[in-house]
Amino acid sequence: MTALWSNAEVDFRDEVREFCSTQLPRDISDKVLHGQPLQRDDYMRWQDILASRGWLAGFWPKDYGGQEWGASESYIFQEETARAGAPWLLPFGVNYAGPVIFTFGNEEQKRRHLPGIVDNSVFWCQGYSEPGAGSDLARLSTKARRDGDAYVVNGSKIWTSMAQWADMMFCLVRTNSDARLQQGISFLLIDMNTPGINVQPIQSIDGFRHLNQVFFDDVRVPATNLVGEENKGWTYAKFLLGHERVLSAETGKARRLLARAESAAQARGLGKDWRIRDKIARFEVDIHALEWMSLRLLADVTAGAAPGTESSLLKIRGSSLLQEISEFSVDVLGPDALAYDPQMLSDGTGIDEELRSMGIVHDFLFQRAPTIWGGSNEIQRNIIAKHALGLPTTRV
Amino acid sequence: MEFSLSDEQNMLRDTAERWLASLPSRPQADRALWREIADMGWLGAGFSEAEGGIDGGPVEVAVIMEMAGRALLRAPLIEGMVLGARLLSGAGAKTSLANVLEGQSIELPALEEPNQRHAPFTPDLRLMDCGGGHRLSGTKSLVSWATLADHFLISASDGAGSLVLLRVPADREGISLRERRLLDGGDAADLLLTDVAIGHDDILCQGNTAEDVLSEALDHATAALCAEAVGLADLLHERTLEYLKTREQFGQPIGSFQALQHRMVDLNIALEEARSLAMMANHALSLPAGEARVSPLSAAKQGVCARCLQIGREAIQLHGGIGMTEELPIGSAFRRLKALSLGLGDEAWHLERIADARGEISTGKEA
Repeated sequence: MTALWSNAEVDFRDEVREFCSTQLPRDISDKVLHGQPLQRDDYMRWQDILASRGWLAGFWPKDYGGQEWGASESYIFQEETARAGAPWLLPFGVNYAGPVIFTFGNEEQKRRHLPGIVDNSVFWCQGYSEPGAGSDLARLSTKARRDGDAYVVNGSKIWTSMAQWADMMFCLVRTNSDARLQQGISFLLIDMNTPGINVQPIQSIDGFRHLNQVFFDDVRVPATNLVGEENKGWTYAKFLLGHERVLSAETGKARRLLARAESAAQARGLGKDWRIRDKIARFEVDIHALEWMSLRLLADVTAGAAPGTESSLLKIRGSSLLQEISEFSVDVLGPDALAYDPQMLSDGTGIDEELRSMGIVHDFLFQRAPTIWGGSNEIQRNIIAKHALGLPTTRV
Repeated sequence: MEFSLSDEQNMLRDTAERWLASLPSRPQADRALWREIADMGWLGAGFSEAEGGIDGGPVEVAVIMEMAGRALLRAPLIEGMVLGARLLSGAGAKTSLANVLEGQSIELPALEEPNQRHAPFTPDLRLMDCGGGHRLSGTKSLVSWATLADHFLISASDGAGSLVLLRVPADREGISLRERRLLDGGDAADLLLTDVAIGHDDILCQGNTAEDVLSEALDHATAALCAEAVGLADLLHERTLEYLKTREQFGQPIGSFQALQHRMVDLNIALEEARSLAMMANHALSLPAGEARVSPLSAAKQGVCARCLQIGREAIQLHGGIGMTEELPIGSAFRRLKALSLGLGDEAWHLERIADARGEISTGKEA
């Protein structure tokens, strides 16, 4: 084991740092650092800035508009932008739809869909979960029936983040009800402006409406929007979930949230309170552990190994840690955290100090989600138990 | 980034594994075993060729420590191979170091004191001036493997209260041993020092130099301890996983029950995190001595021990009754892990250091 980062990697880190300090709009980073919810425009403005630098899809192949970043660059980029207070880079197009399309799509689909992701002109959302198919995703029942040159889609998707802002959805649909569960699923790209689509917002515990249920009523989707082969969608879906989890150890964000809690403690004269100090020190240990576990996985991926069950491990620890730090932050606020007004927070009008507290409360509520999304942590444990540890299944 | 071992390091690992497998189970050090350890080249694993080593470093030491942990080898590796040898090396005691690396002389640190919860830089033991020389009276507690030592490396404070490190032959008049048994089954003794004459030649170093030398030695010992803990936890993880797959109750292997599967997964995560933190500790040793190392080394010590102990507790619980017996190595490994977590600064000591270091960082930023 030699030095952690190569000279080129250190240069890249400095370049990203410099870029964030000069290019990241202050009003956006203020919102992020204070835990205010972002609007479509906040995300899109920052992503436009990244797109014009060629960094929106940095890890993509050059042929499709990427920079062919290795795992180290991707990690450094995520870490540095998160620490600077940049918005979460929306993964639906760049990390999910894009790689599936350039890996399994045909030339026409690549020409039509990839440029809009790279230049940030198309907003994507993810149609996976259904009311009757959450952890047991393969049980999904939204049907797509072939009718001439189109599929006719009926059913509904749920927990669809940001569907209200989306132009396109990549969607898992059932094209064969007779086959075994995993073998009758297809991967469709659906224009959200198609007649018959109805997006209903769902209010979540933080008081905001970033989640939706999307209803499909005889929605006609051109058959040319089928990615890969009919009934092979499960393979593409699993490929995508692997990509999703590699990004889940957000150590940059964890550091940022911990520093914020520390400042809140200091501002309340609790900087020397041993209970607070003890917890902060323990979180620092956890962040170190997660970071070095991520670095080891990155080294494997860089050396050519496919991300396997290790990414499940990062997902479990990364999501739990963010959750724990964000609840600790609320405990630091104490009774100050009782005041919470989503509308005021969203408008950003009010006394700075009060808004900052509400931002911490908002993060606490929102951070209940990561242990559920992307395959709940219980599902991740099942995956590790079976595939990494080789534990047996129950005999009936 | 490079996390994999070189060919030479892999060879060191394989050779160590083979040799350890040839020993009786749960081997306990004596002079003959120490001779063999020296012949394996382990003692020089962390040192340059110029100092009599094999041009290795922290990774070579970690490879050995992990294998030794897995094999439950009980020997003064942290104490003699790492801490003692580092003290001699730091103090520039070349001849003594060479003798130690060859296995000719066993020189063990005597740092801890009764009623001190690990305060290595401020020993209560006083080096009193007496005529042209010095005298030493007091107690050093729980010196591991004391009966094997040819020399003790003793920390004391001089008249002005600054740190002084001494190298004293074990048979010096006025030194007596009160033998103790340890939680992990190891041997130790309290060192009872009664008016022990100390000459100038017995002083290794003092003042700031002594603090730097001791600090460097403790840093290396901490990283080595982390590697041993990972070896022990690796053994516990392997045995527990095997047990879950083979032990049948209610007509099935107990590892088919989801409640136990998820607990086993958490042990797997704990092991991977512990391994990652132990690597971080080795990396920290490549940073400049002092402030930069404090947080990563203390985080590694606390984090590795906490995670490995979690594996230890669960290993016993998941084994059930048989996990409580000496028949399996589970209990032995657990006791050793608890001892490691209490040694070289316990959990509270390291968490305090991490919190202090953060405080300094934030004040530094504001300035």
